[in-house]
Amino acid sequence: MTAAITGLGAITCLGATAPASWKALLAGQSGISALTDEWAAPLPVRIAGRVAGDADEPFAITAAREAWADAGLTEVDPERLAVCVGSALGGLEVAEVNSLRLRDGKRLSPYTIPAFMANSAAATVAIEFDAKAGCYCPTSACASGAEAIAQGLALIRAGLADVVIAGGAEAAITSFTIAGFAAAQALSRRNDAPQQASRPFDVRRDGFVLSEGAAIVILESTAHAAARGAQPYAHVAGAGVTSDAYHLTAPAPDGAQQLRAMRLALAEADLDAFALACVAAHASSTQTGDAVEAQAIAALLGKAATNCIVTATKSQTGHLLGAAGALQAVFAALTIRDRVIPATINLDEPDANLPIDVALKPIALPPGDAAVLANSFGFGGQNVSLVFIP
Amino acid sequence: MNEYFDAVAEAISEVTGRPVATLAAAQSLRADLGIDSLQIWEVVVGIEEQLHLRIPDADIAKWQTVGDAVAYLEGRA
Repeated sequence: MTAAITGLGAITCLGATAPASWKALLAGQSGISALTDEWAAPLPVRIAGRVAGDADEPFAITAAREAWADAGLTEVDPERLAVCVGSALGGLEVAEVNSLRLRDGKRLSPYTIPAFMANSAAATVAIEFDAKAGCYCPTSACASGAEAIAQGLALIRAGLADVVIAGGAEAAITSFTIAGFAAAQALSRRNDAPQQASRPFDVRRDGFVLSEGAAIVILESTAHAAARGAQPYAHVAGAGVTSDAYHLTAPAPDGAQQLRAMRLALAEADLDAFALACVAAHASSTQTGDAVEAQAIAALLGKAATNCIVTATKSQTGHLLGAAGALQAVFAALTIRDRVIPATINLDEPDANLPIDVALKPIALPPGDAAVLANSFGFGGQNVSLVFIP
Repeated sequence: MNEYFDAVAEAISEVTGRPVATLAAAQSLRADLGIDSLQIWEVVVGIEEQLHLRIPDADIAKWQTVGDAVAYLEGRA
């Protein structure tokens, strides 16, 4: 059983809405810029993907309102409406600011913990939309947003909800996060060239670029969508979730569980690799991560590689951590609707050791029912693959 | 009005979204302004920030109206 995607919302460094982000993506723009904040000056990394414009509301609320309006939903039985909104780090900035207040002997806001807790975004969305069929916050590092969509699909399949507001949100561009990821040697240090810093699969990739924002999709049971005459962008047809059980930061070198996640997602969708026109790679631009994933994708595709192109949108968006997998889903839905695969930028010299073909410019989706597979892998060895079909 | 009323009104306005000009000493914090048991502590954070002082928790329990908060601060001065 599939779930229909009937609404999209996103706030990213490429644009303040899903269509604006998509348009900038297809235009090959980078959303990465220099961090000019005073607090960033002493940090080893001073680049990031800030959201466009002034964001007064929590990112998750902004994206959820957009997706809800886009879906054209009006009346949904609250007890048939669920929320799955993941986050990797929760309200880290709140914790950072309030730690300093505490050190200075100042009183903390009563909302310190409610704003800090990982499920804050999910709960805020549930309150806004009166969603009473459950409110989930998968926390699986950079796979959180994808896992939220997998969980939403599972709720609809199990008959526990008709509509799920699913996605991810992250607001973690703080000195603590940047210093921490830099200490883990995970971030690009290309401070002098922010827009060239995120370069998945390029031989000179040197780490990911931290970004912020949110992406939300409205998932609906096909019956619910059909009954109200909604026109879906695409459908989520399968989800595969596995764990490396290997290391807290590094992926298992053999990529076996990444491969298995992709195979599980395809099997759930009742498809084989020949059905795939595009693999939207996790590809965050780290040396090890990109290499392991490329090998796993090559193993998945085999001879089907001739019909399938790989793309890495983090080259343009940077890495939204817990929102990244949800943004992949938004882009996958638009890939299917608009029949165009977005390009990977900054791939000046493809790493010759990686046995995959990567889209260097936007490519038309081939005719027919081509499927898109999207990967999201997180610290802790969390692997989530999703399959999207028309 | 005085600087204490201004500080209290500013903090309440920040938390409730009500314009400062609509606030008056006789208003009940809870019944008139809808400030709940958590929001009052946000108001206190705002007052402490503006006046650079620390208010003991036990003293806040006695505040029923805007004027009570102002009178308390005047009493401390």
